[in-house]
Amino acid sequence: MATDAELLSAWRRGDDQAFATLYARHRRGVYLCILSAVGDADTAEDLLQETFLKVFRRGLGSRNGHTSMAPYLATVGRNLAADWRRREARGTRACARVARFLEARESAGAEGLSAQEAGELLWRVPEEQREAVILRVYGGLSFAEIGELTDVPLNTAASRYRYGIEKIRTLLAGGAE
Amino acid sequence: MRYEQAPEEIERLLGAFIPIGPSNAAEARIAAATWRCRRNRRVAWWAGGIAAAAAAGACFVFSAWISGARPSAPAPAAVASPAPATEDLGIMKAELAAIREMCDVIPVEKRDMREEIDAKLNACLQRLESLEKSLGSGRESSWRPLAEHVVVNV
Repeated sequence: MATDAELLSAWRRGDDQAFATLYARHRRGVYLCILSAVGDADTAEDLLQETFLKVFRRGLGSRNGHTSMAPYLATVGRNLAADWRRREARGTRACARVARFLEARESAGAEGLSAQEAGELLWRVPEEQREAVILRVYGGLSFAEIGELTDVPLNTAASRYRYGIEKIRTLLAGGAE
Repeated sequence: MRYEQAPEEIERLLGAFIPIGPSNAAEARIAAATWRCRRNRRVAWWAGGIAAAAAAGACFVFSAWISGARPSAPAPAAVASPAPATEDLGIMKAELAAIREMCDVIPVEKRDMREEIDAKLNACLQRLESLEKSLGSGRESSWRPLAEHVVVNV
């Protein structure tokens, strides 16, 4: 199986199939990282596109020897999300966009919780914990994978997830933040 | 609404939702954007090459124009042509001076010697005339062959 660096080189030379493989490999994780940072699906999609384009233009640079470019893509995506948030700099607007953050599954029982309420609930969780929860619940990633993607040790990723879940439980119980 | 669930129940609750997107069009948009990026790079590469070639050509033409516009360049050829004529004229003067010296010492009665002198002076005349023609002066030579009655100082 080709490494990410080989696929990126092939993509930059014009191999669209290499891009398709690379995109399929990292799309989900990178997108969820960006989504948990911006809280808006449209913006996250735009930033996902920008992330891949940035890596396409610049290449991997010093990370060329790394086996996976997922952490690099996630870092680029998070930085772009941070830039976007600085540009917006309006919390109320970001909260309003949370309505487009999640949608309900047709078959699952949400116990009276709407998609917008669930999104707002997640948005009140600290960013690092929210990211771990989203990657775990919606990305189906292991703690090791979350740690790699967010550039933290496995235990830290697991702790962030546990604190995030605890925070949601407290919020659902109507407790103080 | 109050919840007292275990973490697994919270996960199940969150699992009732899915995040929106990204849409399938995102991949096509990225592919199209990278295609444009590659095309722009190629255009920029060709444009750079053409600009460099044009600049090199302009430099060559300019340097050729500069060297062709120098007024001193053809001048040496122009002054070079009269140089041999001057040199010939100098030689000829020297020969004439030698003839003059011969004339000074030859007695009048030595006819052979006088004919030799006349032949030498005649050769000098022909050379002088050819030189004057090459210079384009068109002047007539003022030289006249030695006459029989020329008095030579002895």
